[in-house]
Amino acid sequence: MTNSVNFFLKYSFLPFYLILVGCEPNHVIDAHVAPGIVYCSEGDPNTFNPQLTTTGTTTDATSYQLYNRLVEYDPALGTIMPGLAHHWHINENGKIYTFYLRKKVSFHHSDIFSPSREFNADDVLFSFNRIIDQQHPYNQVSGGYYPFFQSVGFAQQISKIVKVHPYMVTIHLKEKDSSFLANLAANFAVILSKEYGDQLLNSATPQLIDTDPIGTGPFYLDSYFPSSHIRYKPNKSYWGGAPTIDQLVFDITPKSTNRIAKLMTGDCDVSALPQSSELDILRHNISLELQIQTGFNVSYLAFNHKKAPFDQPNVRKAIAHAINKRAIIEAVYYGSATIADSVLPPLSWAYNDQLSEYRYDPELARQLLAEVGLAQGFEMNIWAAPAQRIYNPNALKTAELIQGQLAQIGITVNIVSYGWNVFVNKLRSFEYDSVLLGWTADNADPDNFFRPLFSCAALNSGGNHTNWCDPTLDQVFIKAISSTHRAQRTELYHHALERLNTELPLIPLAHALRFQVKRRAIHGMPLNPYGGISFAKSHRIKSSAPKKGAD
Amino acid sequence: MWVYIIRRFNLFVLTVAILYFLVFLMLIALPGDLAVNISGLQNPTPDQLAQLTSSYQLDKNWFNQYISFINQRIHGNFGVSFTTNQPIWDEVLKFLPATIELCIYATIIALLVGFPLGIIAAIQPQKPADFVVLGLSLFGYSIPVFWLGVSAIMYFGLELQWLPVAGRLNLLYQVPPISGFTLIDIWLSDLEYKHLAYRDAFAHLVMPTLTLAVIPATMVTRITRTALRDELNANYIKAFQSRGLSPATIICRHALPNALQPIMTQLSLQLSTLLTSAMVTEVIFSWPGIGNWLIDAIYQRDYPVISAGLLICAGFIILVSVLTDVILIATTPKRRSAIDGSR
Repeated sequence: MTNSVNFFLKYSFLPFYLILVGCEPNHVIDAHVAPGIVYCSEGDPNTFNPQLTTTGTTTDATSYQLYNRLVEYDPALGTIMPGLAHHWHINENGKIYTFYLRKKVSFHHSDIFSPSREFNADDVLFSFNRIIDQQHPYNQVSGGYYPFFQSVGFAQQISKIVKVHPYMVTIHLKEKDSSFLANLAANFAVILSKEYGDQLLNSATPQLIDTDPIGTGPFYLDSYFPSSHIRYKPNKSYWGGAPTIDQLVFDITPKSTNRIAKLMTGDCDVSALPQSSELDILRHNISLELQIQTGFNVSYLAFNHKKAPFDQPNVRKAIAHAINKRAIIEAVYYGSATIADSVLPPLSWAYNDQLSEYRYDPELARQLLAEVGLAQGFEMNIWAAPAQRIYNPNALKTAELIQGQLAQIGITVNIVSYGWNVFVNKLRSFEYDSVLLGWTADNADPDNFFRPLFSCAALNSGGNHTNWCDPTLDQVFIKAISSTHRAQRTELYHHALERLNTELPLIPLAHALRFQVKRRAIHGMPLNPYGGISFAKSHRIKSSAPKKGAD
Repeated sequence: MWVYIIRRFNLFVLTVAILYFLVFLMLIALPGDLAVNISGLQNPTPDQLAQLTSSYQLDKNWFNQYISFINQRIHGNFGVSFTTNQPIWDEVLKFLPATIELCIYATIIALLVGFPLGIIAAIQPQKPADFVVLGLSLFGYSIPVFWLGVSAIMYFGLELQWLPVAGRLNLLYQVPPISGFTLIDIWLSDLEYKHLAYRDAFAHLVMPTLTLAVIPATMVTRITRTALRDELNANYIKAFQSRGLSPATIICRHALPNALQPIMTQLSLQLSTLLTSAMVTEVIFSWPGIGNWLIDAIYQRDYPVISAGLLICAGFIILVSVLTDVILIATTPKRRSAIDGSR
């Protein structure tokens, strides 16, 4: 801001703005009575049960706050850690997993539910049978969609789950699956309460299990006001040690600039997804800390390849040659992303660096179109949501850039946009020609980038947006997960990437860096590269300012 | 008197009918099925569809549809929202208090500032004080609300970090929404440290209220000045002056009460300006009121909400202007005879 503007603002409006404040600046920050943490989140969760969703907004709000998993993923070490199972082993042929469950783990209390017993094997069976058993009374409650589990073929890979005794469970697989433990540690594989489920069935309100959640996690749900905020209170008897904060509030703030403003003025302590364009402002603010992580994600332009003319590989390739990824990364990500050559980020051990690149070449693109008789161009639509995601900070802007780039090869692009929830629902009908979306991995296993996006099973679960179903490729994926030899798996994934690169059901655009921004006083919040945010260990270290109020 | 009220009432009914007709046309013109757009039920079951067809007479001609559309709406059935699937009327009741709260505080400030300034300008015509006040009011009137709001956020929020820039209250204060008015709700809540919550609520109110108050304040100033000057030029004031009454008595006891009546008339006409500025202000300061809700609905293509928002906001303005008109006529015999005589 220039000096003259400064001066002008200071002396023209200052008196007005001071009337009500009583000339007492700087009182906003640190004056709050309740010791708690406010997290500015980017949107409403669709549900309070992460089993039913794959959206990051929902898992952020639920997975690590309300629930636990059998095993947990440690992002720092990259290994599987004990969760509700304190110990487990896998038999020699890799098909039987035995879990020894933690004792003295209690479920939350709520207005309508008081647990009479602690967590045991029944709850594990209940949670997983709901997903895999079509006859389970809860299977069809809330629609019967379990997108993550359907995309990894969870129901097909498990032959049975057995309660050996109240604190021991065995899971029998049909085939060896090296990604199974990673799937159990994913944000979605949470453990629900069977007792709560039974009680709700008796009162004929089973749908409450997903809206009035009961879990074993560090926080319980106190209240939820859609489009406004979610309030969590600490679970004082949490087995991993009760949280030290008195409350956790998710302030639902869809606009990124508003989140940053709230963060700077003290209404928020931690904020999701700062925009790349705002990073400089954040770096210069000494009370804020910017956390950066290389992200396991990809944003892409997916073709609905059942629709003409996108059923022809040449058309898809022409578009790939016409898109200038570098320009997108500069304009949309402000450089905080790397160009994607494949869906798999270069960080992954299965990354294939031998893939032929689709370089930016509009001339070649026009030739490719001419070969299939589309030299005069055609009209297509790109669906893009006006919502910010980890993998793409601004899909609409990306769509506009692509619109301009494709115009050069004679393709007229219409951009279609809906609010996020409407958008996700409408995607299921496959009405679009192409869609700008992306994927954030739930764990470090490369399989997480393949089956959820390209398998035939993922067509029904809503993860496969290309309408792509290639049985031979499915075989490759299955072969890859049934092997535990990394070299063999690498080879298979290289092959899969090769095939995806030649067939091009989607054009990978960028791998975004992950950012989280928080006030410096907040500690205990590592940034997880695989999505999911946990406040279990978060706390506020008070500055030297005198304490006010009850804390 | 009664003739006048009936005449006004007819005008009211006719205006509202036209408003409903325009909104009805909009619903027909919007993409998608009329049954869906009018009710908000996406993918209705056959039963629901039959129910909708009968209640909105969708199988009849457009005039029947229009009449049953009005019928449903005036009985409080505004359909459900596409995005939340909640009855729209309930949502309106949830968001309306925030808007009313903001408008009331802004109006109070506008009156507190504008009234004295207008009086000062009126009693010193063509003097420096008059010019300063006039200049200020013209300046304030010309500032766009969105510019003022954003500048205030930039400077007092982000640069100096004195004031919060969004929302009504820091969410760490758990105040259950009973009345919908933050200040009342804090009082009703069982918070232990209410004074801190009040302080926080006031801090959140400062910028939106003052931003919204600027334009009404300048209007109050100008209207007061004009009305009071007209009154001060009247013969009876000169008579008082010649009798030696003190200027204070003349203004407070005689001129001002007489000037109030045209001031109120003028101000009631400014309600729509206030409401539109309030919507802009709400969006800028993320104030969870009707304006914010409507703009969100536009982003989400929530047609039932957009149509309901139009009906409710426009209907409210029409209703208030007719009511103030009637009240003013009822309390001012002078006007009544003039109007009855002239038409």
